[in-house]
Amino acid sequence: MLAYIQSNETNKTCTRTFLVPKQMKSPVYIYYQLDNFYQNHRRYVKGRSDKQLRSRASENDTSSCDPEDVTSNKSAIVPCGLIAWSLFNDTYGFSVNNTLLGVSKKNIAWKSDQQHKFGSDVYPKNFQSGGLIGGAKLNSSIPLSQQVDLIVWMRTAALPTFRKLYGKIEVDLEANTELTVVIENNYNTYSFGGKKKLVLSTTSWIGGKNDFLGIAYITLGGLSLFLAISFLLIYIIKP
Amino acid sequence: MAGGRRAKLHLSKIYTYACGKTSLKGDHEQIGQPGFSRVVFCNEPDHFEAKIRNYANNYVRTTKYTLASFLPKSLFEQFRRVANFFFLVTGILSFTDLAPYSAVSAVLPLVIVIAATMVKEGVEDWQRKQQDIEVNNRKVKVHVGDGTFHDTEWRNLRVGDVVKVEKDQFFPADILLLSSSYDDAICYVETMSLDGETNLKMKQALEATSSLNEDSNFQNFKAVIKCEDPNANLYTFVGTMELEEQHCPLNPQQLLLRDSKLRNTDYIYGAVIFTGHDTKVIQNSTDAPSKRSRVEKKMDKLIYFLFFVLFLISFVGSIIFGIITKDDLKNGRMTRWYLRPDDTTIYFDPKRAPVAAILHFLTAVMLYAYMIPISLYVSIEIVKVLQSIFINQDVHMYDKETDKPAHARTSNLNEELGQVDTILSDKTGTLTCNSMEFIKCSVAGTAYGRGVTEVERAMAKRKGSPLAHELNGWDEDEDAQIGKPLIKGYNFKDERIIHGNWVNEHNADVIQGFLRLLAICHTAIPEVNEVTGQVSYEAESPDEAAFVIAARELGFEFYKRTQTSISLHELDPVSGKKVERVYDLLNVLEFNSTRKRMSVIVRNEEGKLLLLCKGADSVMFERLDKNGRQFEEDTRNHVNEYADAGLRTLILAYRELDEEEYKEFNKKFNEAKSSVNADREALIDEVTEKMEKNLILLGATAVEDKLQHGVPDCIDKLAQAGIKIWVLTGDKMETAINIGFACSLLRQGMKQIIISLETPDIKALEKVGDKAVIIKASKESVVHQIAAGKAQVTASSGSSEAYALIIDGKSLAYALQDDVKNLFLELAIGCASVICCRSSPKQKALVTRLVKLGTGKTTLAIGDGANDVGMLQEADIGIGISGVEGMQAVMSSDIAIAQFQYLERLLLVHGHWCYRRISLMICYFFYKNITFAFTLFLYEAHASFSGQPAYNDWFMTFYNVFFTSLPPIALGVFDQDVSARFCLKFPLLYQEGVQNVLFNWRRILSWMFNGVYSAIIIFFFCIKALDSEAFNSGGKTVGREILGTTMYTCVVWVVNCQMALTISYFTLIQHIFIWGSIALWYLFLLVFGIMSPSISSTAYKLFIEALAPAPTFWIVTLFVVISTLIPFYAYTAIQMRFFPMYHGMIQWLRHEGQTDDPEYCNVVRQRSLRPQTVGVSARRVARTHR
Repeated sequence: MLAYIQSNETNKTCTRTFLVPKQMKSPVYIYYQLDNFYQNHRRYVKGRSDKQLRSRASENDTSSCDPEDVTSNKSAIVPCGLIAWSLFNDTYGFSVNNTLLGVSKKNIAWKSDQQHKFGSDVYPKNFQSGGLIGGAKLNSSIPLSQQVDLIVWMRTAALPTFRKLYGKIEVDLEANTELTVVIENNYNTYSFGGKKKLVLSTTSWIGGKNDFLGIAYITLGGLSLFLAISFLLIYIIKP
Repeated sequence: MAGGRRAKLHLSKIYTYACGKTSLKGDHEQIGQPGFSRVVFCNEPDHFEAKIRNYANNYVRTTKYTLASFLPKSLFEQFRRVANFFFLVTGILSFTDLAPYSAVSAVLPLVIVIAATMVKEGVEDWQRKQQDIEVNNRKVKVHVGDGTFHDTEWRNLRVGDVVKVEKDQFFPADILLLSSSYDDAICYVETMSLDGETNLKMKQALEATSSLNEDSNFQNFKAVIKCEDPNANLYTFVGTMELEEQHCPLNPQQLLLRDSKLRNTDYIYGAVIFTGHDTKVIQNSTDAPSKRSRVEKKMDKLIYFLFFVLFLISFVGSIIFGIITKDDLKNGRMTRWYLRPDDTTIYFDPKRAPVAAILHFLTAVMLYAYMIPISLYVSIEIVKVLQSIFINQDVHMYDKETDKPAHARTSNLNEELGQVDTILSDKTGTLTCNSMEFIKCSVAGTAYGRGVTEVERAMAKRKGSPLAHELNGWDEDEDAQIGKPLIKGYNFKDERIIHGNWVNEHNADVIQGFLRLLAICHTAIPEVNEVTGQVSYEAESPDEAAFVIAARELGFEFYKRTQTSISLHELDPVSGKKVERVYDLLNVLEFNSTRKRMSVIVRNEEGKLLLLCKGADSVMFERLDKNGRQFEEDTRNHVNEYADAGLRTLILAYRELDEEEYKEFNKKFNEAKSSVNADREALIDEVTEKMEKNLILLGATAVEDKLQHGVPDCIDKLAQAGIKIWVLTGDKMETAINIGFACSLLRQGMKQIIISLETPDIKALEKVGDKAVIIKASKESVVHQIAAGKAQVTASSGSSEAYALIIDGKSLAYALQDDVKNLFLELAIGCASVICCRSSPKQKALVTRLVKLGTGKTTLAIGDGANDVGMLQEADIGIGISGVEGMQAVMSSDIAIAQFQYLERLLLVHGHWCYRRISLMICYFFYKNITFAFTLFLYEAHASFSGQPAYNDWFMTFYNVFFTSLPPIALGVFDQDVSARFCLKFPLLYQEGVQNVLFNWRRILSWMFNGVYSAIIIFFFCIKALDSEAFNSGGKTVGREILGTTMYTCVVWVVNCQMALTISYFTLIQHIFIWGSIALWYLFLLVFGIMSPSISSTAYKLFIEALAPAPTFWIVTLFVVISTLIPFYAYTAIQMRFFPMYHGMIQWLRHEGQTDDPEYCNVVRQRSLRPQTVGVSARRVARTHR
């Protein structure tokens, strides 16, 4: 498996077909989920240069980016550091009845990141040019502020199992629609035994579907009620 | 006028120490030798040799720091604390790559905390500096040449200056007295601030200089003084003065010490010998031993425990980290390739995993350092200072008469006040006022005197009987009319006797005899004020004076004594006029401790010979004549009553002698007196014995050794609170026992175990005089007595019988020896009251130490005089009475109060509160830091222990400093479980402190457990609730910063709400602090987020963009906070309902409004109450049982 993912020659495209179980109103959010991937590792979290990302002038500010800081001829890598270097590079193409669905990348990153943390005059440079290629490559003619996948990736996840927003499908998906996904399986999760998942989800006012909160609130309410009643009983029986 | 009289009085004594009579031999030969090398050129401070010698100037510095030494010295003091040192080390380490957070954020709280403490130190020292400036700028007249004197500041005084000190001024340095306003160059000095003694001491200058008593005399005055080097001994001084070729030896008689005061003398001239820090008083001042409270000592242990936990979890984390890191390279292949383990630093190198693990250990220690509450020390100090202010400001402990509030001189011991197990009290000046008052008498079997003693007042008050109001009412009316008893030593109120009404009583003749005896049978000397014609008396003891005064007030004014006669102004019962009568004084048979009586033999104007006798009941009743026993039974009853009320009683009796009998007696008596035999005293005793019998009883007197206001009540309350009270006094045993009764420490029906060496065997041995034998026998006797007492106490241990231990100084010396003291202590602990009489200051301190170390409990010593200093310093807490007897005790005490009775409020209210506040505050501090640190730890476990903190650096920094700092301070300053009124109403509440129920390991550990548990709930509920699903309606998922911040929000909410659940006293301040802290966090998050991303990094626009608009954030916060707090809430509710602690019961009581139901109150009060053995209440109970 490892050889397969690390090879440049192998065909990494695979196709999967789902049945949409019930209607999904647009926007339908596309997530990729990684398991056992420690984006919160201290070495990993440190592996970025906020200054460099923000402005062109600080291009050479790569002190925290070791070992992905400079190329062999001492020229700074933009964006430097382990996080950018290990950018997720699987791609997904969706189609329904052989018609391609557009995947929008609009608003998948936080606005503050795009406006203030990733410079519009900073262009990728020397990126993924070293001996060891980590993840995705970047189009060096697009400024960092427009590299939304990078921006999403650079907001490191809190826990080793995490989802990140890949894009949105901006049409409704009716129930029982057959959805075909063409996956470019490029990202190496085999080395560390992690799993990859593709998730499609809609949101409500409260965000995604999270049973925990609901169950927890009901339990808490029940517990409180139980306590209240027992105290009341005690008070009545034995004032 | 007074000075003049004194001068005359003492003139005869004076010449015993005049110049010339002291020889130049002995000590004075040492002058010039090492240790005696000081040379002072009087009146020539600028003498070239004086300059070479470079004596200290007269500036006295009592500050801890100078401007230059402040920084290094106070920093050093700060970092001596383990916790601070630890933070210093982590602060330094945080500048390396090891740090999990930025260096500035780690160092900042330490800087704030250290700065706050240093500011406090600085302010305190500044106040001392102000005092110094005041003292050093006092003015004194100094000779400036040509016989003129000018005012100069003290600090400018130089060795050799001639100064003129005027009446009631302090001496600015150690001064050699040259002359004074008196011709014989004497002066009077008050040394109260040196040794606490109020009597004036006389000093006298050399004859050679005594004529220099005018300013102009000093124009050409020159002298050289050679003397000892500066030393700390107040009572020695060796030197010589060379004056015009004359050598005069100097001794302490000529030395006036700094800090003493010139009294009764218009002015003196003197030469400055020791200045500034060379003066004896400054050399004498030792640093008071620094005392730390039990709670704080335990807190240190707790800190060590936390360090242990910290290192433990760091160690565990490091091992796991090492294992995970090692796995990053498997067979040369990277597993977690995104970490580039092939090209890494030492910190994450899988090839050198053990080293990486060790280094990681340091990182982890730094990260979990948040477990150690960095701001705890400074918070506690702030809280204690504020608590002290409350104590100082308490109007209930303010004494109007002396204008003295309570004064906590150190704030270290506030909470220790809530844990006192044993009080060791001085008697004179502390329990009593040191004044005797004639208050009652029993004449011819009738009791007279309606004066109310403190004990009776307390008993009546307790009973709540109508009598009490009557008593009080009457008393107050009377007091209101005449103010306080106008005449010192006299407090007799009975209209049947006063104003000459006694002539109408049916036993008028007996009363006449009684009063006459009072006026004649004594050794006092009258002093008639020439202007007013009023008579005052100088007597050997205050009770003797009280008798003469009483006689005077009742119409038998003693006004003149010659060698052979006593003259009275008597009220004649027939004519009702004052007549002058003279009694020929034939013999005085003096008082001593074995005879316990004194008699005089007089011949009255009719020529009748009378023997008038007064003495203790134990010796008097047996000497009564068959015919003289008419009133014996009544008198006995009265005397017992008086004695039980703590009054000092004497029996008065007389006898008429016939000439023959007297002649024979006189002959024998003179023979006995003039014998040079060793048995002289025995002979005298034998002779007098024969005379003092067949007496006719007149009656009995009762003198009150006046207790301070409210003492019995206060002792009763303290006894109810379960505090043991020991009295350590220098007084005689009888006096001490009397006071024991007066204070209700002793009562009838209590078994007294008296340990004394006044036994016949020992006395016989003492006559023989072999020291070794005496010591051996004495020790044996003491050990035997202690063992016997112990056996007695053990035998009755089941029953409710109460014992009192009374021991005298001599026996105490043996009882305190190493091999006996434990036995002694065991006996003493078994007794309800312990009274040590005739004890020296050293013994007082030793007893205190014995109790302190032997029982391991908190001791409190209270005293007012210089002789109590040792005891005050030895005890865990020393309380000084800032009364009249000088400042020495106050200066060496930890807390000063004006009267003993304020002890009740100080301990039961302030002590209890402070103890509760501090212990709760410390527990809470540990709780909140453990909660915080454990969320970090749990997060680590999900970040492969790499040392990545869950929160933004600055969030962590400000956790201790801003978001959780003020509420605990408010708790420490303001919280009260029950109000002061209830503290006093239910003294048993105090036992919570003595038994340390609020700060025992169980409680501390449960608070810590609460912290761990809260952390677990917060962490897991947060990560579950913010799972990988979309976080807001925009489909975005939760990143590190959102999870961290949400968790942090929950932590801030939880610990602050926990505080709200914990405290039992809400004021506006608490509300502001608690809710303000939470609001501050949101505000901080907002403001910090608006700042440029280079500062705020991950928190940039976090609140306004991500958190605030997302309902999830708010819902999760609410849910987590409630579910974290519910268990604690339920626990306290159940505890309060079913297993309330004592304060809980009282809170219930108050809540349900049952406080006015005395029966219910009593039930609560009695609960778990062991039978009280001393105090007014116990006495009443005992009385009703009898």
